Amino acid sequence: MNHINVPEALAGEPNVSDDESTRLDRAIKASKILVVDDQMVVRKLIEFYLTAGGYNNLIFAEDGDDALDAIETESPDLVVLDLQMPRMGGFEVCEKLRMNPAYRLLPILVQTAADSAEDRARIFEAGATDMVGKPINDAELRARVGIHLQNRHMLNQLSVYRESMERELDIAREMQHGIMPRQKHLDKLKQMYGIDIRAHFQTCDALGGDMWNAWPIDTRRMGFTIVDFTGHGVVASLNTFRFQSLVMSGGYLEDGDQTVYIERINRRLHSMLSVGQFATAIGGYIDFHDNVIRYVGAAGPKPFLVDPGGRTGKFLASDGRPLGMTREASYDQHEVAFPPGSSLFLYSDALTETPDMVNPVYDDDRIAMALTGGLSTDAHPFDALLTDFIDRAPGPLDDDLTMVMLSRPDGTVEGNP
Amino acid sequence: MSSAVNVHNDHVEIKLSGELTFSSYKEFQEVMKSATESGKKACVIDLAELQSIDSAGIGMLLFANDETKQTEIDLSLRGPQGPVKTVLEHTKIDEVIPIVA
Repeated sequence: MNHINVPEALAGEPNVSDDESTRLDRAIKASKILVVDDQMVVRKLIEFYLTAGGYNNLIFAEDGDDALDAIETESPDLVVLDLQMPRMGGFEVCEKLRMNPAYRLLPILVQTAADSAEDRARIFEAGATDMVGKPINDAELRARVGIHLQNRHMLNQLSVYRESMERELDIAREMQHGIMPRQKHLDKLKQMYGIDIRAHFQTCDALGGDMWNAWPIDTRRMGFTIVDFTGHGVVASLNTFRFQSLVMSGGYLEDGDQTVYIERINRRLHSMLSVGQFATAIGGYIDFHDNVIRYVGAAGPKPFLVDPGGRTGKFLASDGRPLGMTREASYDQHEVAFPPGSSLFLYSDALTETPDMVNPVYDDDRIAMALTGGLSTDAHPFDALLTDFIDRAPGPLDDDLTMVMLSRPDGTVEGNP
Repeated sequence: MSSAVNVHNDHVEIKLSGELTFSSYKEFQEVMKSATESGKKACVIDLAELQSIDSAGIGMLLFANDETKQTEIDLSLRGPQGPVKTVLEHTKIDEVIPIVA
């Protein structure tokens, strides 16, 4: 009999192609099996049954100590273990094996004549994976060996797959962080404009749907944006990469009017995104010469403007339709004074929204308080707010959290354009 | 989320309660399907008892809007409350799907 009849529970696995089935079968048949029995006749019989079933990679042990040694040196994929052996019995072998985390999942098939429910319970409590009756029936032996080896192989494959996915996600994560300004870039912006930029980017999965950016436009203007695509995880992150490519193709203030540009971005995004996908955003620029911020809102959370002195501030308007929601949308530009000493705080909605939305952990009032020195601490308001939020958040994030603070030093600092 | 579908003379009404979030997707799809197959020319989604909605939920409403447009059914939302109302206003959904009181 070459083909093991797999019981119903395992038959009908989704998506196992014929090639995969053959490969899996070959891998199972090539598995190393350790047969432990003190009687030579039984070892020979089991050998006969297993080789007839296509299992040729067999090793043998005569007692418990030999078995433990063999497991250590040979790393078998499955052990067929007799319970009744002199010196160290099967129970002891089981218990000793299970104490070692390396052998926690090693399939152990116990041979036993035990009939009562109590006996069976005892065997499983000792750590056996399954039992095969004594005297050994060849079909039953091969069936049980087959199932457990199949499980083991599939678990291993799953494990390998997971590890490779995790490695890929690590790389993707690096790539995502790469589309946002690194410290060197922020230092450069500080050099050019005197602006101090602090940011926090925390995804709730390996990848996220948020992104933010700050970039030089010319000697007097610096652009900034924060974007939040619907959802989170891999799918949302793909959209951040798309958005990055979209804006890299240029044209931001070429017409002089950023609303025209944003309307164009909206159209482009709409054609790229599926129905129901969109991005909320805030984007604009600081004009260090005119001491103003000119920005456009696309349903992003209301930015908070801190006045010079850091004791007062206010939320800025954010209206406008989310990007990509409809083919056409029109946007308005807002202008607010941004004299030296001012700060602008941008954030994604993870800060103010919670699953039940009835009792948010963090609300507008608390943001305002934290940013205007209301939290008694010597820390920079941005750091104070972040620490405060983390302290109050009930558990791991269920959405990506992005926060950015752009601070102009007050007029006494040299080197401002 | 829980839902109820009521067929009236000239429209079908979908009543949503609880939360409309990512995990509500399957149920929402089924409910919309039965509504669009009801043969009525108008569909009202009653949100009075909906306690919260996230961006995935908004996406679902937009998707429903797209589907009903394709089958020439007029879709409207009714009676959003509290945080749901705030979110719908902020994302300007009323400019895409009419909201009736």
